[in-house]
Amino acid sequence: MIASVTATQRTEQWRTETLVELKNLSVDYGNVRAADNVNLSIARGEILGLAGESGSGKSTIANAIMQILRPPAHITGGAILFDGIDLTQKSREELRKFRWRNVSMVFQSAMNALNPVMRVGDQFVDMMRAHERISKRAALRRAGELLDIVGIDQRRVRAYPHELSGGMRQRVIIAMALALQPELVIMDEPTTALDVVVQREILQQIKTLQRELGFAVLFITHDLSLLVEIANRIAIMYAGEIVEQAPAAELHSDPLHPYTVGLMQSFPPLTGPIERMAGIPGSPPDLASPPAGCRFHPRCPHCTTDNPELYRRQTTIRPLLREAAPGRLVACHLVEDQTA
Amino acid sequence: MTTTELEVEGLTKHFPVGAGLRSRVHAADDVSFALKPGTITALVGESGSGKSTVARLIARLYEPTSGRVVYDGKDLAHTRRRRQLLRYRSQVQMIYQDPFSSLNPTKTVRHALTRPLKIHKLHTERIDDRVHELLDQVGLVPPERFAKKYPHELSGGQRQRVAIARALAVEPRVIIADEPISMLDVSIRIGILNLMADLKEQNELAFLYVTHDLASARYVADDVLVMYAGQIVEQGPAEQVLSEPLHPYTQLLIASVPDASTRERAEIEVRKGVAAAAVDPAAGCRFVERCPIAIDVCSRITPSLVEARPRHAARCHVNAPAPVLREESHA
Repeated sequence: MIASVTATQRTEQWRTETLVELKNLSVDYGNVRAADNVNLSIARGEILGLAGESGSGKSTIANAIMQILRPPAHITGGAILFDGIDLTQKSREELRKFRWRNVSMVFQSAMNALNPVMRVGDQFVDMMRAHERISKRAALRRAGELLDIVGIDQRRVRAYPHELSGGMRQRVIIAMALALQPELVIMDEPTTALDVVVQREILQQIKTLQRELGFAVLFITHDLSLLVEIANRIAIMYAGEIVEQAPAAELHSDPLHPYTVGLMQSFPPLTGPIERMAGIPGSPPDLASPPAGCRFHPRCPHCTTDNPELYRRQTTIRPLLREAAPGRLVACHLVEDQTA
Repeated sequence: MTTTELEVEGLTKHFPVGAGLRSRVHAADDVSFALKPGTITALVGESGSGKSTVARLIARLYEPTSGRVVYDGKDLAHTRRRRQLLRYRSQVQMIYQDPFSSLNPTKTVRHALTRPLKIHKLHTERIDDRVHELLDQVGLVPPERFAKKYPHELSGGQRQRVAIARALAVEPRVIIADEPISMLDVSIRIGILNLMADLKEQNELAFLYVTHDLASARYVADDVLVMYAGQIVEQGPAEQVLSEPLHPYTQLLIASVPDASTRERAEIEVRKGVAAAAVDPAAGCRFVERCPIAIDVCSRITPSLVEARPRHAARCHVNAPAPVLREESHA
């Protein structure tokens, strides 16, 4: 009991310490701006959820932190501070050491990233020996322990990927991501391709491991209800911008940005009364020519000519991400007016 | 007044697999249900449960190993008569998961919608009026503008609306929608579900909504069929099945769905055992390996669908015991 209290206190302490900080980060794909002036921080030991629709820029952020953006994608402005050091200034060799040791990543289709003609264990050995001096035998033993942690029989180090189910392969990737005990694990739609029961099992495991090992997680998904369950804080992206940031429970009970409200209105509940839901009219904008002013304004139910002054600002001025309440950031003219 | 539009009886499809193709996957096993006009029936299950096989059997993309698909009093599962099939295909239409690959990228929306009209020789006099009417019906307004567009000029949701309009063009009585929203952006999914609900009301259509998403099934469907390893394991009114599930598999599914309203949830028990139980299945319940409440009889006798509550049936010896077994246990 006492031990668990101190553990929680320790985690609380960690969570106030910033691990990653994105400062005014912009990423372009050719002349399309995929991430625009993004400010975001991840604290040690926290699960930060990043939600948004396809094309909103969430994977671009993940790839930028991992420094694996490939042309035509390139960082056009801002900084990515990891433990205070700007990753955009690091050399290739420094980055090679940095990846997996400090930040690792699990992709949606990661289970297909395993080499089909190599035993699972050997793939662990390869990865570990690329980063540290360790004998093959010791690396294999570690691989077995890691598989055990994610609930796979140790003897499966001898298995080939095709001998494992999709859920097991995804767990192998998670085990690999944890191998060098990184401070941050980026999970980009890690369970989207899996069935719900398998998804639930893996989410439970991620949560347990994260509590025990204390790494931070950037969890990216389009499934907001999943994030509300698993994350400490949630950031919502729309058309390359972060439009809202809040603690998970508050975002769920009291979403402030009309887009977040709309997203909440897009997931039918499994319990309670069934009411006709509205979703969000229209569709996400083409980032090659985003709407002027607030990027959400063409789809926003609060953007009408009833209030000409507000309407003018909504359609011409980009709202900035501002603090609306302690720990809560929103980029919306309407909320700005209400809190001012 | 018919109360049933289309009926499926003992539908079974086995696919040969394994070394020398000597094994059989029972992708659909003794599947029976009825689709009623003005009703959305959801067919839910995980990947590999056989739900898409059932959809394709009804659409006559596969021929069943055994069983019947009865439409208008006739069995169409095995017919090879061209005219009968053509008529059936105009009455039973299918909507696919991927609106990006189900529309010809080199042809306009107008072309996509006039093709079925020409093939089935409908509205030949006033084709453009009909095209505009259809676009209007699926919410693509102004129709004159959308008719001229090519698929790449449309968003995913708009493409899926075109696919729905194309299915509606031939005035079908039954629509089979196979995961119609799973590839769409989350903010536009509800719009497609609402469209399905409206079409059901206005056109008295019978929908079969194939999905892995329980919450969307609850939102839009009147009835639910739950499939596991090729069999229907539970069926009944959507609200009742999802609020008071009888089958342990349905219970597991519901406990697994992410739901924002239950932040503090009970952990599910992780049991080894996979949904590959449909390859050469032995007698007994196919869920027995993963079942937390299995009893002795479950691994010996295959449970049948038993109506344990009015209109609500399950394939489970424990929660929906057959009357005969019930007497035995009391004796």
